[in-house]
Amino acid sequence: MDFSARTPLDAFRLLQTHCNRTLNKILTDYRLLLTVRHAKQERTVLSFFNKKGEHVAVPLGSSPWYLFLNQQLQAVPQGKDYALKILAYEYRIQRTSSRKDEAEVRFEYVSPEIDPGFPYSRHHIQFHQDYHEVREGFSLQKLHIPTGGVMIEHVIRFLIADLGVPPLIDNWDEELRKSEEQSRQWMSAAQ
Amino acid sequence: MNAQAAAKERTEIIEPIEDGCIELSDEELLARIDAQAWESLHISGEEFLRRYRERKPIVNDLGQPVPAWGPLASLAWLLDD
Repeated sequence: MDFSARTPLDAFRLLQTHCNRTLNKILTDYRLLLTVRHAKQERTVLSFFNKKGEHVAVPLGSSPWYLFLNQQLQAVPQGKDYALKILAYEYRIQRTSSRKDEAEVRFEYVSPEIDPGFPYSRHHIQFHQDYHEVREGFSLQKLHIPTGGVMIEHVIRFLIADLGVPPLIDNWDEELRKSEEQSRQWMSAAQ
Repeated sequence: MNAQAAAKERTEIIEPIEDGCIELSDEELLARIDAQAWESLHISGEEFLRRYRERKPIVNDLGQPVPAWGPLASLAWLLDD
């Protein structure tokens, strides 16, 4: 899948459309929106927003889980086109829709462009603060436990296969594999 | 959560629409950051942006950024030149 396009907005929309197609086919009816600054359109934030423009986590069917998804994207000139770069992501699985509530688990990435001095593993996972003192000297809330690059499809698979979120279709695994393959090709170039 | 609360919550999230794009002027973006900083962090947008630029997030009692910090920081990043 080629994620380069003639304009920054076109490049952002390619990813938005890909993510929404997968989300809407397999997991939820809610759709990710782009927010851009009029004066600087090479950047965007891709997330679920409410009508007041606030980030929200969306409910997942009849399950007790909510999904918060936030990506910071940059369009980078490449010849006559623009290529897409993910500068940060945050995927939270939580028990309410509020962005103010602590996630049960969150998968995050912080690029050097966002924070050059970030001392921890740039791809990492962290857990709810209630896990802080479960085992002495190893706080699952404070530690930035290293991961590889996490794709939206990985999170969808975790939600369905491990947390029991009901998929929207019976052949979700097949559809998710197709989406994973497309994202994998693109992710290797985008981070 | 009861069914009524769940329905209310659902309507407050943007309904499924075509792939949307919210384009904001600098003034609109600053207003949004200010409103959300007050609502979620109980500080002004100006104070939030100062902390954002100095990399001094509001933290919880474990010294970790509070959950509302990250989403707002991503909007503030749009203002970076």
